[in-house]
Amino acid sequence: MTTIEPFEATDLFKLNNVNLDTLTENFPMEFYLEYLILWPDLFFKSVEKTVDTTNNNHNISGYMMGKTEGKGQDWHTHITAVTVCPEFRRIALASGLCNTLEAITDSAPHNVNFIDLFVKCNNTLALKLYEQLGYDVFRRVVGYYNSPSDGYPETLKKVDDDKDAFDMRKGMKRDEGKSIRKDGRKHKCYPHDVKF
Amino acid sequence: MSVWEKVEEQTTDLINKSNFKQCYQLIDNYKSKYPKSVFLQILESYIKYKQSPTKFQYDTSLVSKYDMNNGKLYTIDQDALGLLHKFFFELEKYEDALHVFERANSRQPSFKISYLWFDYSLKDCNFKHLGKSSLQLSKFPKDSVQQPREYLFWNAISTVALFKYQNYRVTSQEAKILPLLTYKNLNNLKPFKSTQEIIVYCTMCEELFQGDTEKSQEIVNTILPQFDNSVDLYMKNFFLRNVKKDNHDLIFNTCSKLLKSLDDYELMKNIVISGNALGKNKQDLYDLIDGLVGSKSRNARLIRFEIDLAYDDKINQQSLQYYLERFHNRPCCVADITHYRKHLSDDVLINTFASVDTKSDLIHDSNLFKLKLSDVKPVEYFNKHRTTMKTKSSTDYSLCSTFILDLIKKTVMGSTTDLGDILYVVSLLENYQKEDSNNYDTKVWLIAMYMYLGLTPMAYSYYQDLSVKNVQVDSMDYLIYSRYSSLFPNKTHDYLNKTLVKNNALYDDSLQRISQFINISFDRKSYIKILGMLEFQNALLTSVTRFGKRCELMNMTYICNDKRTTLLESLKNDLRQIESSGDIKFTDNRDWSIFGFPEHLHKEKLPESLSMLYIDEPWILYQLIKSFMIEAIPTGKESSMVTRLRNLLPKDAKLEQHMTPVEVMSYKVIDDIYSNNGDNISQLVSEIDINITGIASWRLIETYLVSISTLKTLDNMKRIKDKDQKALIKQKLSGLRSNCDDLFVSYKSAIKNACDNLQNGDRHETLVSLGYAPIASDNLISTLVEVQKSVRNL
Repeated sequence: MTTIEPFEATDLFKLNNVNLDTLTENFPMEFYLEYLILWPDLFFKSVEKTVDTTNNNHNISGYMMGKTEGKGQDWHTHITAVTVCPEFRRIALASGLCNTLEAITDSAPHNVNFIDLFVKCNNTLALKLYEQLGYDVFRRVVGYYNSPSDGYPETLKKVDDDKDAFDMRKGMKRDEGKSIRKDGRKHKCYPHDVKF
Repeated sequence: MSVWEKVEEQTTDLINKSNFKQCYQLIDNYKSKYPKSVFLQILESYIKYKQSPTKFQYDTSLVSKYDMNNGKLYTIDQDALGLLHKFFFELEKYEDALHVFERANSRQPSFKISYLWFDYSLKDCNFKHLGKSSLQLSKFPKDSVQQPREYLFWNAISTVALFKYQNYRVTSQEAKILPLLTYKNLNNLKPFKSTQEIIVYCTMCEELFQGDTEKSQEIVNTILPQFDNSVDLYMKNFFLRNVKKDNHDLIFNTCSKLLKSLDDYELMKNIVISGNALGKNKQDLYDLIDGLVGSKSRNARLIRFEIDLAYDDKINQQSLQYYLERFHNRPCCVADITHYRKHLSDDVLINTFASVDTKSDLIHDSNLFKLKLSDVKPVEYFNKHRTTMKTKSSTDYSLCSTFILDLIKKTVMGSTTDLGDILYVVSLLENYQKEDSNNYDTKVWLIAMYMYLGLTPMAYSYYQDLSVKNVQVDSMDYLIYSRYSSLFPNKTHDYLNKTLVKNNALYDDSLQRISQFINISFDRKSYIKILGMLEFQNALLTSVTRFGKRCELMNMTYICNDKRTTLLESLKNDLRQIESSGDIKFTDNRDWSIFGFPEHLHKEKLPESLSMLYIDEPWILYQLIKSFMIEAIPTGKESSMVTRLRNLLPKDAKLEQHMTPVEVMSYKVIDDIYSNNGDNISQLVSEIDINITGIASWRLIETYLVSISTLKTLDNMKRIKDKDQKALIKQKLSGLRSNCDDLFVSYKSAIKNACDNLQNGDRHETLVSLGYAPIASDNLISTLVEVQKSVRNL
């Protein structure tokens, strides 16, 4: 049984069951603190109440790091990281964390127009998950995951599913469908276009 | 950089080089230009202190004129204040260090001085001064960047931090006055302008007025309107903690409202309790909860257990079935069922598990196995599901590890373990890891087993796969860096010269920046995470891993005959940093849960297989005391640091309970010279065993290296003047060194024999039945040779 709680700096000591995962990014301390300071209510964790914590500190099953950014029509929530430890996977916890973020930022004081996230074009599992949650591809960001050796993309014509990201968006009611494109996969942009 | 900052930097360099003559010349030079400079007067006094700390006359010196009891002077020169702070801090007069700002501000109040006071209080983690200075900040509306109201929120947080974390600083009078004053100050600021302000107000009411029902009601009244148009997790918690437990209507309605937005178990549990009290029937609750979060939700299915317990005082089989039909083959099932195990009989569980599944996939079987609901042997289960490891995605984890970990638990979780046990476990893990390379549950055990064998390079190689970095370092590095100076003191290996250095950036750089982040939080009116950040900073500052490594770095200087003056200074500074915020206490952030088996693994009583990781608070204190004793021995005087640290040891502490036998020997030898003028030194040295035999684990290397290190330290001590004693030390040292290769030869032979033994017998059978090859001795021995090479020339 899961309860959603605010993330505190001290939780950073208790994330090994989540962050030792090979695909989970383990950010520098400063990055986590920046999120705690700038978007304190958009950094939260799922806590497992059935885990006996007498001699076990692995009761955080996942966490969400989000932020709000943009101006005017572009005012939105961005999902920076959402991750769940292996023991609590396959129970829709990531969806639950996304839904919580949506509930928080679709209400006051945030009242965002849409929520967005980036996902690697070849990560079909994640794409499917986000589509089920109501996200659609808004555009393809060419070379978003380029390594320094790949360099900055010179053209939008050369696509690579392993290097490009889909910018996926879910519009809130107040957005009135302005952030949704049916043909989003055909729209391409450079990484600098997704900076707000 | 100001002129005085430059001068201070120059003198610090000269002091570090012990070039005091030039220091005074520099001061004289500046004094001729600025004869009335307070900064220069204090700096000159500081230099005198640094030149001869033992001869420094505190009572008659300039600095005594600034102390909080007798001092009559004050200055508002910011550089002079900074220097006074540094001076008092080094003299370990922490209150005086901050009092200079307080006095300056009381004589000539200004925003600048108040802010400086606040800044230094934050760096020193002195929340009493933080509270006082923040209150002063609110008195300069024309000069400050923020509005006065913001500083009253700063003050409220500081006061909460004082009561929550440093209650020992609060006098009985302050205990009465400060909460009332803070409450009044914040109340005057109503209406609150942001969620942050509301949360500070509620936190203040909760922390400073614990058990006050009126304040609880105020919190609820403040929070309730917020739920009309926003969703906030802090507000949810304030409501749940403070609402009157018998106000069932309010609880039921508010939790139901929040449950629309949050699939949260705590909300559901409150709905169940209040729903029952309000006379709702079970079906009403099922419908309500399913309607709000959906029937697929794990919380929605598990809450039926709570509904059953509230209404029937038992969990009904239908509810169990309802939960299991969706979650019998999800890994969370073990934690969930274990939590309710006392309400569920084995028979009901076995039958219900059987009724919801016919396929018995890996996770289903693994769950049954972990819940001890199956008689099937781990090897049998493993073989049933091993093909799934070939089809899974390479980045996924296989729960086949459940069965391998069970074999490990049965072999190496006891109080005795031999080389054969360890090599059997290494065989299991090395083979398993090939098929499930990203599985960290098994990898941490493999790392630990190589550390047990004293084969640090092999453990290090696997540790790198885990990519431990940033804050994770503090909870994980103990795996390979506990006792590193006595296991693999190879300064040229990446293990020490690359990864250790890189990982220590957490303490050397990031930790030093936390107070800046907290400062930014105040400035940006981002209040709610400040208390957590203060706690985090303290936990990192006092971390067992941090100080364990610091002690090991000191031990490296003894074993390598390196200079240690700078290190000792830095160690003293680290301890002062802790002492200034309270007593010297350490915080254990190490993650022991990473090994699994929480019901069997307790850090106070580790199994022999993890014995090399046994480091506790007294161990750190003993190592620190030893280092400061070694520092004090040439002076022939008592060290105040040694006395203070000794006073922190538990009254009934016994050396043998906290250190290995050779660490105990080393401590006793140094203590004898420090405390008894070395009266028993001949006896103690003669007892050092140079023929270390019969040990086949990390303890062999550790015993050898701690003995060498101790003898080298003694050999370098000018205090030992007796020729016979000196000869005995040299004789032991040379005897030990000439036995080095023989010790390793016998260990290599033990490894070879133990590996050969795995070629037959029950364990061989088990390995074969798993399709695994017993570990070969070649790699192990070649790594042992690598360790031997790094050890033999020390």
